[in-house]
Amino acid sequence: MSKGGKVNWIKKELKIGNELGLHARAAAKLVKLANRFPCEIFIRKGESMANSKSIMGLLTLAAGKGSVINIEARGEEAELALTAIEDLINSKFGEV
Amino acid sequence: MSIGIVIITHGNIGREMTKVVETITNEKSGFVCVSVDHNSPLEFISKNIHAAIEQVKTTEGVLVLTDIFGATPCNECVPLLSNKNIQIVAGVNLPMLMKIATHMLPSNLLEAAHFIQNYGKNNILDVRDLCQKAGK
Repeated sequence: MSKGGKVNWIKKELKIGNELGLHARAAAKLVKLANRFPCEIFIRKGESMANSKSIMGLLTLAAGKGSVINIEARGEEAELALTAIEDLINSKFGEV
Repeated sequence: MSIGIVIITHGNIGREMTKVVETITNEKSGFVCVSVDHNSPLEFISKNIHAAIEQVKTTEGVLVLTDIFGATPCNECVPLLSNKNIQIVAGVNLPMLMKIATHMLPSNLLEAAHFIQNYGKNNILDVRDLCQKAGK
């Protein structure tokens, strides 16, 4: 990433697999994880987009089980953040 | 250091909301709650409020959240406003507490009070509209 240069978004498409979808406790885990990274991270579902560091934003995505979401990150540690979030979602947030 | 949070409500509303927040985030919130029983003498209520403020006081100030403007829990806080390091917001709701608990509050007390007031309002939502937008 060049200083002052244009920073590109990196994106990943994922599917929500846990039974309860992106509910409050799952969203809180995602927020906590996202807050560990300095980069911007957004979650897109269809037309809606939410800041992954905002719990109510995530909840208003209403991303139930089977929802396809796009994680979009840019800035410092964006790739690390994307991988960490992918792991969390693929682990079904530690749920079923 | 961050802003201290005190929640002052009728009955156990604040305590119960705090319990829910801590269950969801799986973290201690650091919120200190004062449950106001309408049968308690005002001196007792006031003493509890002051003790709660002392408990959370930081150099960045204290944000007091109460349930209803004009009711006893809020009225007993009004004298606190002589202290510039205390801000009071009435109408506390769960989205506000979730936001604070996930460390998303501005560090400046005045900004934090305005921010959280707007956040509370903006998260009162029509569920039918939202579901239609979400294609459910």
